[in-house]
Amino acid sequence: MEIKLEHRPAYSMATVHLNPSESFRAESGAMVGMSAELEMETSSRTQKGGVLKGLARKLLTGESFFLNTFHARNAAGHVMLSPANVGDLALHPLDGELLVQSTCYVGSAPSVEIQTKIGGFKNFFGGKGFFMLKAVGKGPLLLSAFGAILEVEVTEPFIIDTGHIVAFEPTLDFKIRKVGSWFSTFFSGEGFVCHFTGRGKLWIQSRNPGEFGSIVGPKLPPR
Amino acid sequence: MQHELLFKPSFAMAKFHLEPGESIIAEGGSMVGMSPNMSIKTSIGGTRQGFFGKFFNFFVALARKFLGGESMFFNTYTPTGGPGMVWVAPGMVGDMEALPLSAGMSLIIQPGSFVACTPGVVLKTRWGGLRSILGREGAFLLEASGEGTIWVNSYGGMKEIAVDGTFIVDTGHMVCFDSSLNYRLRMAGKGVMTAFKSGEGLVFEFSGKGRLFIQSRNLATLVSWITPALPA
Repeated sequence: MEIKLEHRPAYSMATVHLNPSESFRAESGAMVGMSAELEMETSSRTQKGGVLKGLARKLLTGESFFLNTFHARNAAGHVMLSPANVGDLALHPLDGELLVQSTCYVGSAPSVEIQTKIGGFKNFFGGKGFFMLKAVGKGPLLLSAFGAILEVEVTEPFIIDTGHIVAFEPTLDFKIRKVGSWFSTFFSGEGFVCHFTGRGKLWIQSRNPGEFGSIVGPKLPPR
Repeated sequence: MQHELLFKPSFAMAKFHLEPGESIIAEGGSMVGMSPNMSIKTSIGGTRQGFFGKFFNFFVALARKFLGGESMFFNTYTPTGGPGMVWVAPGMVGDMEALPLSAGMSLIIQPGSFVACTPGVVLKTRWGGLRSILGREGAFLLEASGEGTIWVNSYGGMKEIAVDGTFIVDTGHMVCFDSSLNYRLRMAGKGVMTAFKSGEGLVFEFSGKGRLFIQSRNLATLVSWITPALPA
């Protein structure tokens, strides 16, 4: 399997080259194009218990109920994948565990297991949800960002706005806290933030989907 | 204070490194990350004092939000017990620029384009006039004066134009301009039908000499592009 990233950093697209009998799993809607030799299998996420868990994931994390797996059977082939947002893609060679903001997951090799981890909660004061997926295993993991990706080596405590988190290593401890006083939390526009302590790597995105939504949203016709 | 801009020109983000006693003022919702020793003071802006003055400030802030698309609140970040860091990014995708301000000059800014400024900068709200309230674009502008630096953002790329004479800019594409320029708002073509057919609405007509910063994308156009694609 070989994965190439193109059109970075603003309109990134990944091309996954599969050898015979290899597969790659991707988010619903991520496929741009693929070789005719590949077979696409759609399934509900049954990795961690049946249909009901899949539904829960859809409702709570906003992740699609379905997952697409691209299989190269007897011939090699490639599939091109794009995220929904404008921004960068990161190819992370996972060996262990990584916590990923649910909207930033694009795809992974089948040797990487994706678990839903309700590490956050719906931000009542801005509708900016914050849900994490846990990627476990060894293999390539494809992540997307809204905006540019910045890798931060955390050695001292650091605070990140929840909407800007892409992924982080589990060696980091995180706590969701108010940004300041109660007044600040309601009115600063920041709401709740993530306090990181410990040591580890953290990936952030330079744009915040919630903020973008609050600029464009009010101008759209009512639902 | 040290500052740098990363990820230009598409997803620009500002990093500020502050020494004790220094502060940076940023619009609500723009914080990306900060060190834990930063204190935040939230205010609605406005310089009027007294009981009625405070009401006035509040209404201006509301107008800023509902008519200008700018956050109602400003946050002042100050480090406590040592230096600190705060990273700031606007909501829209695009570029950011740091523009210096000094005595005797001021910048007039489309409210959605304000991201941050140093404490010596004074921000005032300027009404665009009745015409702009009736138009699609924001009803008013921010005027920044004083001494210091202001950070503005663009939706899309940002281009500086040296105006010497006259120049016309679609209101949705205007980021900011030197107050030395004269401006008036008018319809792009003559008559209501031209506006309807051309898709162009209000424009700024600039005359005189000064700098003008424009953005290569337009929020109103994005909205009209997304709207038909929304589920019924």
